[in-house]
Amino acid sequence: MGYLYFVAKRTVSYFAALIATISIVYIGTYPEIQKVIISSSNFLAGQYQQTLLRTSKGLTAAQIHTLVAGFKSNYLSAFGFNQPLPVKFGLQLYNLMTFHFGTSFFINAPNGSNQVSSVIAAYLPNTILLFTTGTVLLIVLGTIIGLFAAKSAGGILDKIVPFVAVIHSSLPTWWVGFLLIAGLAYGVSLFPTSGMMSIPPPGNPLSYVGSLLDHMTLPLVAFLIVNIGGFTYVIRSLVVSTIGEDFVITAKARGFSESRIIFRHVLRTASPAIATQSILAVTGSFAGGLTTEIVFNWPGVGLLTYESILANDVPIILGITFVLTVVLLVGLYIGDVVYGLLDPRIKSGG
Amino acid sequence: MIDVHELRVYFDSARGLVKALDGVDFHVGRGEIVGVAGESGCGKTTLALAISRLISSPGKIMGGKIEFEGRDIIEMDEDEFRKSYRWKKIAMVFQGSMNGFTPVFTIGSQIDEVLMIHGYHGNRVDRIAELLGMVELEPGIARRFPHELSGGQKQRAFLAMALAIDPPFLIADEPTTALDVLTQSSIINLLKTLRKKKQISIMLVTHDLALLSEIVDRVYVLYAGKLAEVGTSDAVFERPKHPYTKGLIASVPTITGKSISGISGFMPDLVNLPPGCKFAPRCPNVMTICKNEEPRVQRISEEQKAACWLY
Amino acid sequence: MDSIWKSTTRQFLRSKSGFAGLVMMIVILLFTVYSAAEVPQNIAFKWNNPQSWTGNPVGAAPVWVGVIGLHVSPSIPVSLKMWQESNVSAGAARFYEYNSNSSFSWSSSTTPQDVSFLPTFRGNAISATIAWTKPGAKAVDIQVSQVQSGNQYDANSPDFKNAISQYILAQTGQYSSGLTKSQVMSALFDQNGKGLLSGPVDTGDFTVEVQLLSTSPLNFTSNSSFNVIGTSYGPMGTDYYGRPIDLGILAGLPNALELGILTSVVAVVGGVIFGGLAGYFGGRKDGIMQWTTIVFLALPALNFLVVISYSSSLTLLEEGLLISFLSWPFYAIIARTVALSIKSQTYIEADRAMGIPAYRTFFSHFMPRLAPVSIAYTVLGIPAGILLVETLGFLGIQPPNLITWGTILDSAFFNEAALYGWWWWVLFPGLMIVIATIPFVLMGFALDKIIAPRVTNFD
Repeated sequence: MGYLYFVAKRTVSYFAALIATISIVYIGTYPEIQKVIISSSNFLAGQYQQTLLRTSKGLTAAQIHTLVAGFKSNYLSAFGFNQPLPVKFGLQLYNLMTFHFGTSFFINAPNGSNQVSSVIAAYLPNTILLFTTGTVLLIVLGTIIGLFAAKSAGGILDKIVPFVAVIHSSLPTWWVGFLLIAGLAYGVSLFPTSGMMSIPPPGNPLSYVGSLLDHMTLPLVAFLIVNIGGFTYVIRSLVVSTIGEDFVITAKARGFSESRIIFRHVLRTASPAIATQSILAVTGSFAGGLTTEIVFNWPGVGLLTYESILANDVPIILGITFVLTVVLLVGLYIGDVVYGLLDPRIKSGG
Repeated sequence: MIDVHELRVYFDSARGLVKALDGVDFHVGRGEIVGVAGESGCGKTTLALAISRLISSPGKIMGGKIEFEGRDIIEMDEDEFRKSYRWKKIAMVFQGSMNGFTPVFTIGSQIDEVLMIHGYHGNRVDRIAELLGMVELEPGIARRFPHELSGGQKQRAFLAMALAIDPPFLIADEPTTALDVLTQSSIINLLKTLRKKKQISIMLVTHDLALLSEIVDRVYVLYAGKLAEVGTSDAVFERPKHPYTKGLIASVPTITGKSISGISGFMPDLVNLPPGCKFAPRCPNVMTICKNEEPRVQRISEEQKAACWLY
Repeated sequence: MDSIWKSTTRQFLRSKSGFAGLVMMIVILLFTVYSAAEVPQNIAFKWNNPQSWTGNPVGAAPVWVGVIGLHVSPSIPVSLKMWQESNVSAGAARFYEYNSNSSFSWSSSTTPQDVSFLPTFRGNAISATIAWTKPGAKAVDIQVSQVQSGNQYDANSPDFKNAISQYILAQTGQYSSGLTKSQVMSALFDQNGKGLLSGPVDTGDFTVEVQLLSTSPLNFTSNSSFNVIGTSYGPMGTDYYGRPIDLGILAGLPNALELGILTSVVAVVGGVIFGGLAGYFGGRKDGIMQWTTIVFLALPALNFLVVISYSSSLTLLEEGLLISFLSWPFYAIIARTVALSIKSQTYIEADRAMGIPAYRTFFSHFMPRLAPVSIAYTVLGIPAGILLVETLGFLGIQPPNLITWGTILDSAFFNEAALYGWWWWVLFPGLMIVIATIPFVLMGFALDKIIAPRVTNFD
């Protein structure tokens, strides 16, 4: 029962954190948000005006004008304009939390909508696909390699890991991506040069998945190349220090085989710390993940951010910022809950 | 049961070669309780670790033989040693301050694991309860995690785990340090019972002479990696021959509060050992020969030997 | 406590990676000093102003690429210095003629990219006539009417094209309307004859004689030039605007280092103190501090920076502080873990029992133990700082007065460097990012290894 209590406490805590973080982002971007709301109101008012002009013949120009003005001021009121400051904050925050981001300046979703939330919703799944796969691979591979490196403390693998980690830590993702594309896509036509899917997408599901994997390979490789070095090194250090603990000596005395000691006792003991490191690695590699999308033209949130920057489409940038905040917090929340699952000291409420 | 000849264990440290054990002989017979006494750093724990083949880099066994039931266990292949000897024949209880249990598994599951790995055929659940009962712990302890237990409980639980498959030889390294007196005596009594009932041989390593005097049949006194004195409990405690032993015994406070004396000086740096007798710098009976030549272990009587030029 | 620092330093210098990293860092620092001295103060302004780079070859490869088998032509500056004045009269009118000539030798088999005629004089000139002589044979006269001082006339200029198309007609019998720059250059440099434009490049001594004609006296205060602009320039080539990449690299160096070090130091120090205190306090205070850490950890740093740079443009310092503000949670988490393990040592309780106030225990016991970890992470954090700065540049959201390697790469990406095959534009800035971060990573790892606690196994 201790664990459920722990999860409940954590849920409340993270929800509060969500509000706090969003508020901070909100305060930091306040002026831009106001501009976005105003431009959204203008756009929607204009749409409304068009609709009126087309559909209702019996109205005079002045009447239409009044209706449109009324529409616009209603819209603005919904976002707290012309209201006292606390109400304004409250309403705008509420809208943010419910993903009402207004309309974009230029960029539209594939289905034609220019609601920022729709645009983001169209791109987000692709990012989640790529990034989550990459992260899972990173954690699994990094843990395995780090574990083996620590096991052979001083051996060849152990010497390679820091060396490789040094190089990896210095590589900008997009540069690696550049090189990979030049080498493996242009140079030797092993992989597609960009994008997520061949055009036109293959009809049957198997080739669809095949094409997807084909396109995912290079970005994943770039992502892994850049991030795996540091993570593996940290895991290795962690495992090495765990191996130095007393219970490992007693485990050997107890007659356990080396693999049992490493893969059951050491791994399990180190797993909470590995989980923490994984979370840090995830949050740390996020920026890199975004730039990977840019280089590989992967239609995800990162590419969207870049294009929004180029097009100065502030509403979308803002929207992405908030969505990412939520995503990151959810990730951290999951990590924390998993940590509690792994560390018995938490479970028993200690 | 176990016979150690001229054991040398050296550590290659950053400062130089540390001679933790330099030619020590040791013997425990069946059903004997043997004590190993000395100050910190004298090599007694090293001896215990060497016998259980737990010496690891930068330490290495550089010479000598360890025979267990007639077989040389230094030369043995690790796989064979692990499967046939570890915990089955030689079990060890570590110093109380150590975290002997893996922190993420319950006590019960860890004892269960030991039973399972070593092929225990009976009902494991019953056996766990039995073992916990032996060390006077309630059976509910099995469901607890190590961090939930007090020092004394952990120590007792570990002892229970050590006895799980009835090892004929038990090494106890400071089993009662940092425990309260009542727990201490209950553990001592337990050890005595084990010896009586199951003929277990016990190697008891501690600096606590009072503890040793209660239980051991024979005692070894180590100093700076070498044997200072060895003999039956009566002989060594009542008629100590080596000046170091005398000093140690005199330093033990008694309940009646008689004044205690210490031994002046500190144990020598194991990297830069003085020539001759290692105890010479601190010895109240030091002679010229002591500073130049190392004394060999001299047989003083049927039951006692000491390494000192006085004899 | 001193011996800890001494022994750490000693071990550090003895370790291969630490020493190598240190040496590299010193070299980089020397280059930074060099950059501060050599690179002009207004470099950012010049960089963003394409006019500053006329006269440089565009998209030129590094001069040394001959070594790896690429064919390029060098850039040769040709200076027109001594102007001889002579008076000519034609009827009632009085003319002033000024002649200057210079020659250069050409040995490359690759046609140069352009020629650049830049007359500099005071006064009004009517026309300039350039007599171009190829090795061994006079080639062509180019007349520039309405010549103005300070204007650049190159192979693209109408005057050049006119003269050259007639020259081509005379040589090959073919008339081409609408000559390209490269055709003009071929005409100027290829061997005479029917094979002009398609034949091999002429090698040998070329001569340029320039005659300026004016009705009033001219004053020559500085040299004019008739530069041959090859397809190579500088140790790292040039970009789309003729900007030398090596200059950009040098200009970006102090920025990268400053920001990287600043953000890392501030973030680590702040994070370590915060995390250390959290671990030290424990209980409720720890809980609140952890919560705060999570709040800031969840901020998407990159996006946040992007939006803020929209509403207000940031100075270098502000940007650095903002990045630190977003990076500290990472280090706080690590510091807290270390602090917790320190706390489990019992002497903290002993201190408390003795009545020593909490903050003194913190500083006397905790900070010395946290310091080595912090130093290791500060050093390791510098690469992260540099990378973030360069990434911001790559995304194009640096303040305009800031040149960083990221902005150079952004420009490369934007101007389709890959398409043109100008690999030097992409390789060197990226390489610099790697080179700048490597020493810190090396030193950080060395420190980390030394500081990691060792397990002694005696007695």
